[in-house]
Amino acid sequence: MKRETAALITIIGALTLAAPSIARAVTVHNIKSTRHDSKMIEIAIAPLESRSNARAGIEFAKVVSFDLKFSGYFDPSEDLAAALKSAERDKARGSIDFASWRKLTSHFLLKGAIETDPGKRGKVTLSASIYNVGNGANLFRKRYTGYQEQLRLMAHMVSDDILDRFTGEKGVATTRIAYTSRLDRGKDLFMIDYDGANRQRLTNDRSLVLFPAFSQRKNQILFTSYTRRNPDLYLLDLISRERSVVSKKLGLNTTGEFDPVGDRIVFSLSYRGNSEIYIVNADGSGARKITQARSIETSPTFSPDGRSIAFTSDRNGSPQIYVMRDDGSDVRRMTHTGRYNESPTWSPTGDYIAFSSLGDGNFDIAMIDATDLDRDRARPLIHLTNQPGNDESPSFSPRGRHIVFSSNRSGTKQLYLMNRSGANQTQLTSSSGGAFSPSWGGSILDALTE
Amino acid sequence: MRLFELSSAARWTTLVMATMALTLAGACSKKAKVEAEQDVGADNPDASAPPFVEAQMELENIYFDYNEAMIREEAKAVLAAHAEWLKANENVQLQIEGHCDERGTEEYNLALGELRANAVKDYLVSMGVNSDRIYTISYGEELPVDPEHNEAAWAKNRRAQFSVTYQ
Repeated sequence: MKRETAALITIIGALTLAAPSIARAVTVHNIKSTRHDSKMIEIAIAPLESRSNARAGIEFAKVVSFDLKFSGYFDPSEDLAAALKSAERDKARGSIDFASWRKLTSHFLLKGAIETDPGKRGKVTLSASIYNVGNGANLFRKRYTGYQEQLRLMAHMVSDDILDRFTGEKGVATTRIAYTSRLDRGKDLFMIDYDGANRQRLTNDRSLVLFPAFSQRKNQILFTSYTRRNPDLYLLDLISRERSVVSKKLGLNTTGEFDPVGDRIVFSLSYRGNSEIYIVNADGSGARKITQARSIETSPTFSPDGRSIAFTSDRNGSPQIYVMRDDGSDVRRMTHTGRYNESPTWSPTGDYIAFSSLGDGNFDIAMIDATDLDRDRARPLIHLTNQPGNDESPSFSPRGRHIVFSSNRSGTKQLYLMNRSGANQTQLTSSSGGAFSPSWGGSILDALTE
Repeated sequence: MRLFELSSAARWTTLVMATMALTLAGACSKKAKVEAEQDVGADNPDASAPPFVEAQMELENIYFDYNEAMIREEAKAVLAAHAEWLKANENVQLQIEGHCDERGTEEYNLALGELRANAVKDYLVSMGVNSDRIYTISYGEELPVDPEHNEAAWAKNRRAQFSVTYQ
């Protein structure tokens, strides 16, 4: 475990972004208008030119195609056979035959090459360029260096750079998602890339591991484990792979979540049987109780400014969403319709709280407006899913444009992705042990360049 | 067994410390603060016992209504019998597991299972069983006895389950 970690850091350290100024020097024309009319940006993605590894070139095209399509702004050409043929023609000619690419896209073409670095074993340089197929203008060019095994990560970096270049938005292509999956009688903690690749098992507790929550600032995951028989709250550092105890009081120590800065952890702790919300410093010191009720209080989530907390409480009979200040004052009920509303998560943009809502028959993902908290006003439920089966445990992507959630609509519980509007619902996992309680984390690059 | 000895010891230490703290607090009128700290409860004694304890003596389960932790009338007779048996067997430690059906979120059900386990504990204590002999734990909806998705299965899964160990 230790050795792998050390290797990973070295690899990331070796990844360098080169020469963004090249792209900036090129006139970027027609891009803003493309974005603002509701039409999608068409793009053909050529397999990478590679002297030694044709399969890597095709994998690159598939990764970038998924990323760009997922962003919601691009409509990548899916005709891989035609792209291969056009790429072959370019190679034979020694120049780009834009006429042949225009059959696949009316807007842009992504071309690239991968070369092994003769000086450094295992190292590769990937170069990517985007052309306007109408006039052949080069709109973007960038080089990435890393190790051969990091091809997928480099492809994701290309995707996010393209998204940034064309829309000004930061993408999610290098982010990861933590979740739990069943093994034997228990559950363990897993992590995957946002596109479902690179599944890693993070715990081997032979017990129950529940409710992972990524820190957006630090490369850490909070979770509850029964490994010492009691459900205790732990913190796992993804770089050192070391685990520390945050809270291990007899009873439940569950549903931990970091504040946006990463200094405090809010969680649910039961003593004498009744769950209340507590805040504790990130090192586990200074636990303080901030709710006091005879009912169940659980699933706390910080607002992005760290000043408010949303949580589930059944103080009025059925579980509903409430909001309070981070000192426990000014408690307000936020949901009034729906039989049960549970497991809130605050959007990173602050404007919405998403949660699991039981209407007639099954749970859907819904959200409410979370602005103007001081004002008591109607906050109608906005339903994002409406499928047979139970949709639960929503978690926003780092910038709030997407949501991951769990659903048993296919029979077993698996993870699904969607836009914040509820559009483009896509199944992410097909795990034999199911997939539960997803938490969407930050970019692997942000985490490792700290 | 070892776990329960540790557990009792931890609770005893906490009790002694709390009593001392309260005595001191009385002198300098900081009682409220001391109580707030005490309210966090005792630490998990970190026993490395297997996570799923197998029952050595079958004590009959009791069952709950949907989204309720109240002890049903028919369960009271079952618990009365358990209490008598526990009082007659002083060397026995009892673990009460609270379980839920699959409806509702995992988070909420874990809290509900905790309420159920503690409702059972309180009932047994009211019948004269020493609370130091009882350990509660919630498994929420994680360990169903019946994996089906219908009312018959849910009714079986909304339960308190018992396991006993001998000192």
